[in-house]
Amino acid sequence: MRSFATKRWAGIEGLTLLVVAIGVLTTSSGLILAGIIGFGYAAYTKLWDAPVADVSIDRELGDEAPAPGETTGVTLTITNTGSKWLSDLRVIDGVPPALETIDGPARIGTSLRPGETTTCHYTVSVVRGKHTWDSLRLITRNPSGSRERETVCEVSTTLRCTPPLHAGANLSLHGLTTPYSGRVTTDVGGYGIEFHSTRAYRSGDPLNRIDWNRRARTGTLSTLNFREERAATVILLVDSRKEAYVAAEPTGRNAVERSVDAVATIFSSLISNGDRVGIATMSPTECWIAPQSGKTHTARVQEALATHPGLAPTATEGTLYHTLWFNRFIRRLPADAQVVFCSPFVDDRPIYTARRLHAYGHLVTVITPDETTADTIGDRIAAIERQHRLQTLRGNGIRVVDWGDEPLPTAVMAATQRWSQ
Amino acid sequence: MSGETTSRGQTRQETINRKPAAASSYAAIFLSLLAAAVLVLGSLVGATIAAVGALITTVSVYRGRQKGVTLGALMTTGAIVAAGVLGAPPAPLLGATGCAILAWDIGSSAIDIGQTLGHNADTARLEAVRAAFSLFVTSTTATVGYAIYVLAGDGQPMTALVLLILGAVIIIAVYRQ
Amino acid sequence: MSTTAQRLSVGWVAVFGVLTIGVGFTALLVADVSELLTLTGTFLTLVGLFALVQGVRYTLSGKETDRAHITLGDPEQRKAAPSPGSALTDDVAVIVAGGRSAANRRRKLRTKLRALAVQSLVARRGLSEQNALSKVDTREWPTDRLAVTFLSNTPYPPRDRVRAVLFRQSLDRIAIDRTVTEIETLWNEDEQQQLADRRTK
Repeated sequence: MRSFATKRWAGIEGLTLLVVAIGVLTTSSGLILAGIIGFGYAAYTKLWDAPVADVSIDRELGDEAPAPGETTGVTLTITNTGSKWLSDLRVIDGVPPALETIDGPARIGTSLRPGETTTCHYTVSVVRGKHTWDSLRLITRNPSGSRERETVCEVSTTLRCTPPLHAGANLSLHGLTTPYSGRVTTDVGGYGIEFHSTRAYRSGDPLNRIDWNRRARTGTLSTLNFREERAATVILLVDSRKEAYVAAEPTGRNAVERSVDAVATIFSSLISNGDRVGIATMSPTECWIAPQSGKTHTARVQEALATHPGLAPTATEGTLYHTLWFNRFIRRLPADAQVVFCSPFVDDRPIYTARRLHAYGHLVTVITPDETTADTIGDRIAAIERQHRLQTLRGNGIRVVDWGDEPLPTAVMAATQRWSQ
Repeated sequence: MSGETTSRGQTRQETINRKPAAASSYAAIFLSLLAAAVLVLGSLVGATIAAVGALITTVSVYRGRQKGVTLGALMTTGAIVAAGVLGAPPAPLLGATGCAILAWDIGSSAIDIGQTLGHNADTARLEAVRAAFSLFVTSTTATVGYAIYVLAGDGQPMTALVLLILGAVIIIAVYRQ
Repeated sequence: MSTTAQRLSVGWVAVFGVLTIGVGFTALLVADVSELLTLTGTFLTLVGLFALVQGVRYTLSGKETDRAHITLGDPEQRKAAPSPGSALTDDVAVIVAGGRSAANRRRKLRTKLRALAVQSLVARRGLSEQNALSKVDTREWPTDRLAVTFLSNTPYPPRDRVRAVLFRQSLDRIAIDRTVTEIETLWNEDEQQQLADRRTK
C-alpha cells in the first residue's frame, strides 16, 4: 500500500510562526530562539517516508491439533529482511474469526534494524474446526510519525481441532429415532430375537443358534432362524446458513456450533446402536456423507464434523439457492431414511424444509437449539416467532426437541415423554 | 463436544485494553511537569500557566484523549509566550519549549500506541526508539538555538534572527504547497 | 499546480529563502556583515506581522485537519454472532430515534406484530383466523390502550402524548413494548394453562 500523511503534526509550522512572530514584535529573542526548535520539528516531520516493511514472518503454533476448550500458544518470529531500518513497526496478526485471544493481544510494536529479529507470543482458546491464519497487517511509520504505510504479509498457518466422538454417549437418545420407521422387522430369517423358522444345520452355523431341544429329542442338528431386523437409516441435517449463526450472547457459542455438538452426540449414539447414519448440511458449501456404518465411516464423519467448511464455527459468505439445494438433497436421501434436522428456527426457511421432508414421507425430528433471549425488544419478538414456528411444526406432526441450556439428552428425554403421551 | 456439559460455553467479552502505553505516558507527564518547573526560572506567571497545561496533559494522557494532550501542549506554549513577552531569558524558554514539545510527542504516541496495539502489547522497544528520535531532534535544535544566542551575544542578534526567520517562513510557505 | 513554470517559480522562491537564511547566518557570525545590514524597526515589524499572519493561517488550517489512521478492528475477538432479534432491535431503535427510514420501518414492524398477534391468537386461543383478525381490528384485543393504538395505527390518546412529552418518553417504544408483552402473555398464559391441565390429569 502507498504511504499516506497521518497529519499528526498538522499545525506545527503555524504555531511556530505565531510564537516567532510574537517574539519579533515584542523583541523577545528567547521566543525567536524557541521557534528554532519548532522549525527543527517542522523539518523533521518532512524527513523520510514510511518505509516498506520488508520482513519475513514465521508463525508457530504450540499445538497444531489441540482438543476443543484447550488453549494453544502462537509465536510470531519477525525478521527485517530489507535494507532499511524499520524504526516504527507495528504488527497485528490476523487471528481466525472463530478463535479468541485470551492472553496478550496478537500485536507487537517494535523497531527493527536490517537483519534484526523479534518475537511476539499470544495464546488463543480453541474451538472445534479448521482455523486458518492468513495475513498479518504491518504498519510502518517514519520516525516522526508524520507518514504511515500498511503492508499486508501473507503467512498461512492451519490449526485443526477435531473433537472426539463419544461412543454411545447416552442411551436416552434412543427415543430420537423410531422403531416404526427404518428399523423395520423383515421377513428375512437370520440373526435377531424373534423366532422365524428352522432349517437343517450347515457346518459353520454358530453354536448359539443350534436348536438343542430338537437335538435332544431327535438327535439331528438343526439351526434356528430369527427374524432379521434392519438398522435404521438416519440423516443428520444441520442448518448452517448465514441466518443460522445466531447466539444468545455475541461471542458465545452459536446455534450452528451447538447443532454440530448435537449431531456428534447423536451420531455416536446411533452408530453404536448399529444404525446407518449420514451427515448433511443446509448451507452454501454443502456437506453430504451418505448413511453408512463402520469405523472408516465414523472416522470420516468425525473429520467432517470438525473441519468441513459447511460446518464452520462462524458464518461464511455465500448464498444458498434453496430449491436447488432441496432437490439435490431429496434425490440423495434414501427412501427409508429418517431425518434429524438441527436448526435454530430463527426464520421461516427451515419450516418449509422440515414440512417438505415430512411430506415426502420421511420421519423428521427437529432439534432446535434455543438462542432466543428476553434481553431486548427484538429478541422478545424473535422468541415469540420461534415459539410459533415450533408450534406450526408440531401441528404438522413433526417431532420437535426444543433445546435450551440443559444437556441434550435431558431435552430429548423431555421431548420423547411428550411424544409418547 | 459431549452433550453432558452445559451446551453454551462461557463468553469472554473483553476487548483489548486500549489504555495508553505505560512508559510513554509516565514520560509525557514527567516532561510536561518539567516544562512548568523550568519556566519557574523565567517567569512565575508563565510557570503557573504551564502548570495548568501540565495538569491538562496529565489528565488527558491518563484518559487517553488525544485532543486533551494537544490542548495541554498549547497551554504550555501559551505559558512560554507569556514568559517570553514578560522578558524571560532565552535559556529557560528553550528548555521549556523542548520539554513541552517532547511531552506532546511522547504523550500523543502513548495514546496512539495504546489505540493501535493496546496497553498489554509488547511495545517497549518501539516506545524507546521513538522517544530517542524525538529527544535527539529536540536536543539538537535547542543546542543550535542556544549556540546562536551565545554567538550573537554582542552583535546584532535581531537583524540576523529576523533574516533567519524570513528565510524559514519562505521555505515553509514553499513546502506547504 | 505542477506545470513547469510553477515548479520553477517555487524553486526560485525556495532558493530565495535559503539565501535569506544564509545571509542571516553570516550576519550572525560576522559582525561586519550585520553592521552593513542594519535593519530598520519598521522592517522588523513587517517581518513579524508577515510571520504572524502566516502563523494564524496555518494554525487555523491545522486545527481543522483530522488525523488519518488505519482502522485495525479486533482480530483477537471472536467474530460475534448476532442475537436472533438484533435486526428487529435495530429497527425499534431507528423508529424511536425517528431517522430517515423510521416511518417505513414502523409500518413494517406494525404489520409484522399484527400478523404475529393474529397467528398467536389462532395458535393459542383456538380462534379461527377470521375471528382473530376481527378481534384485532375491532380493538377488542389487546386490552392495553397503547398496544391497541399501535396495532390499529391510530394516533395515541392525548393524555399519553402529554405524559410522554413531560417524561421525555417515546410513545412508540412503550407501545411496541406493551404490544410484545400482550402477545407474550398469550403464549405464557396458555403454557400455564397447559401445566395446570397436566397436573389435574
